Amino acid sequence: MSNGIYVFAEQRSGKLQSVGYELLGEANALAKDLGQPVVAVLLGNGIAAQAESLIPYGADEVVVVDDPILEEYTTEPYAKALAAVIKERQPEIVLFGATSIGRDLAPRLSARIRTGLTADCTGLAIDPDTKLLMMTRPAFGGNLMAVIRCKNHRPQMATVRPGVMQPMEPEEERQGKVTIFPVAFTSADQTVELLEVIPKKRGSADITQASCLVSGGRGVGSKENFQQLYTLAELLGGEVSGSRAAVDAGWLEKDRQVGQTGKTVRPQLYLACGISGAIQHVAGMENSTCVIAINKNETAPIFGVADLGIVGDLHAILPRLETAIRRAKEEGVHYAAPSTQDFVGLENVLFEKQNGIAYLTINRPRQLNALNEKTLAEIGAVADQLAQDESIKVLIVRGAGGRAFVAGADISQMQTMNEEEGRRISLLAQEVFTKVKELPQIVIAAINGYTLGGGNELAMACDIRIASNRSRFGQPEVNLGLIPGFTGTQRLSRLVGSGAAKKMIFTTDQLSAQEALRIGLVDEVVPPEALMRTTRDLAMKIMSKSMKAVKAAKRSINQGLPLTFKDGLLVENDCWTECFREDADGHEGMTAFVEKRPARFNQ
Amino acid sequence: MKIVVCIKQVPDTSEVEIDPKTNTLIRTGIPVIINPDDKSGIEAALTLRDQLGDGSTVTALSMGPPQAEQALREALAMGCDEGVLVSGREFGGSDTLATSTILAAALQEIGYDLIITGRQAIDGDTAQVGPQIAEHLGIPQVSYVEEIQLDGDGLIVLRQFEDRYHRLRVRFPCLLTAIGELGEPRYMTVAGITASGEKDVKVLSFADLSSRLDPATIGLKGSPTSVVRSYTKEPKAQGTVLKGLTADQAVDAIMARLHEDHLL
Repeated sequence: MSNGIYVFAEQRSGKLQSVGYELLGEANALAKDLGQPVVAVLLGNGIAAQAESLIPYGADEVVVVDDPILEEYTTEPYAKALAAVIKERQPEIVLFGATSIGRDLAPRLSARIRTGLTADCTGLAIDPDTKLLMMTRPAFGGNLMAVIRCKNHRPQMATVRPGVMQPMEPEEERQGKVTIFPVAFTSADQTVELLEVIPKKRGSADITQASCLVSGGRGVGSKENFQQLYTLAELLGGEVSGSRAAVDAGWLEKDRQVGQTGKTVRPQLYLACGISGAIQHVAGMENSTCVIAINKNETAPIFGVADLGIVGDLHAILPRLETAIRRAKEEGVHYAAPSTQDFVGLENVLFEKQNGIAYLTINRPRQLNALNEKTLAEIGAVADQLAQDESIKVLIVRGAGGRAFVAGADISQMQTMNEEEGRRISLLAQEVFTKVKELPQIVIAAINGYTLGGGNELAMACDIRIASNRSRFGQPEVNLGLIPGFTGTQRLSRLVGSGAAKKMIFTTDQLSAQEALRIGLVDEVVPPEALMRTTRDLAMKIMSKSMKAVKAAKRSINQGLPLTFKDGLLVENDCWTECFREDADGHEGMTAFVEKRPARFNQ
Repeated sequence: MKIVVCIKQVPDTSEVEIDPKTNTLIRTGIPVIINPDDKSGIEAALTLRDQLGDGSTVTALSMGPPQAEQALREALAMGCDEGVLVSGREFGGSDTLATSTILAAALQEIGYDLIITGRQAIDGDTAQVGPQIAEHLGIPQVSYVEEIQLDGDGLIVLRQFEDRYHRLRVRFPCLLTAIGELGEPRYMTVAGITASGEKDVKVLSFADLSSRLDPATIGLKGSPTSVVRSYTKEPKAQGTVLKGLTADQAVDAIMARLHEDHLL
């Protein structure tokens, strides 16, 4: 009987690699669905001392093979050690990082053990019925996604793309054990002779790891002009990359080339300067989270994949952009766009408006966006303003920092509260979340990461919830001797039913995004990189409809929910009747339908 | 010495289209090429052979449908001495493990001193078949190779990692996987194309390899992994393209976006 989810914890020169922590986080998510322990396997020379450090990140056990032959990675000794561990322990699942080590080692092992291996996965899940590992991976340069399983062979093995999975918050009190696993190596195991280890010279960039790329093409014009791109990249904390044309012209080193014959990159920001966007180039960068393109030629294909395209002269724009970024950075993190100046004084949230959509960002990333009294009050102030703002149709609520939506209430602030103060903070939160719920705008939560306690209650105050597949949901209050008191007991039971709500609250078990989707706590689950895009597209789709009708429908649903069905119908009848008013959209919508033309709704 | 280069005929991915109904690739009328990493492997093999100048040969080996002969013809035109196609209904539907099992059997059949494969194919992107072949044959592998030098009864190679290189010495027989940096592939020459017309591409069928192959380990049935379903990624929503702006307005638009997405 195979048992356990095993993770290859890669180290280089004695330094544990981030992909190992990511795999442990993912393995823990899978372990919840499978009910099996998570085991890290650590190979190296003199590495045993570091084994303990993997436990807070989710390892129930760390199996260590420590031998001088494992000092630097070479295929055979590593394959021998892992094959011995797998043979003895019979794991259910083994995960590797899809690094140049993982992708050398894992296929060698799969052939030795004769089991299946799925390469470079970007998604893993346990099928609820068969308990098989469902491995999602891109193929054909990302044109096709395939879900793959390994039905009859064990272990089920996958290499997982670095940077995709989410590590756990380290829990120092977490228990685990370290096991030294003896493997007898002989000189015959060293089938290649390592002559020299050559570090890649500093300055030679790894563009695949950069979160921001300032990328130049033929339009940059010369090697000297690339200096402007280096300056911008440094300001943005990124790297410079380029198209094949720029590399062929000798303006840029080959290892900075993006595209089919270069590297595939997926930074948060890809700023394409003077790149036409040939299909071979696009294949290497289209998974970037945000693409901004500047090109003189408005028919350049790069505009087809750009989130924002600027038809213009990059030589005029880039120096001014440099100045603007410097100024923004000097004003600090709380740099505010001009439209937010009404909100001078906000410290814990960011509020921005753009083209009918407002963004409310809970901005305490170091505290995982935990809600304290001040943050609650600021959310309330924003809601008050929005209630009066007819230019805004949709509000998107999100958390800053990428690790949490909101991880809960600020416990450190509440632990000394007396009864009266406790009552007051709950009343404040209930009032603020009710304001959010009753906004005339459509409110969408864009959820990425921990959504716990007050965070889950804030998310439930929104009309629609879109979650990244890294998100975790929970109501941990009873662990603290509390109950959900920021609307949670009432709202959760109404949203998912009392059974599911009670299970969540009584056990404090955290739900994965998929589980949350299953019980109806969230409405869509997407990869993290697609979260903001999906949310924005949803907002724009809703805004393309009759907003008067959408708002009336929201009111009808919200007001009807707490009523009896019969009283709810009365509310519906009132809201329906409004649609027939002179200044409503009903007549225009129905006339346009009959005349087979697009409707012109009130803005 | 006998050098064997494993090559794969792949669709030119930039041209791939997906049938929206069946979610499978539309293969008809799609241009096919030799996988780029494999072509670098051919180049490295030819260079080594010419350096040896001792009657060493380069054999191009491919597994695929009968049409894959075209890829082998191209390899011959580039200068390979021999082409071998492993083809047969029994091999269809093989995953990487089954594919490597079949190719390893073919390699044992034709003999080898050095095997070069591309690091990965642009259609599957798995990078698995090379190391799996090496394991089946029980020979050392070095993947991500970007430089090769002859050194007596073996090679000195430069192996690339994300953060470092290894200079390694490996003895024959061994298997290398080639990356693009290994060398810009040469073009076919007119003489090469003419000469390739006179060479035969040898076909190995299941019957030819049956003494070395357990039917339970090949094809769709012999593959541990299977595709449950496939889907095309949602097309990206159309972005905004702004024209006719002054440079300052353009900067405002970019700054607003950077700010909105918290990219500063």
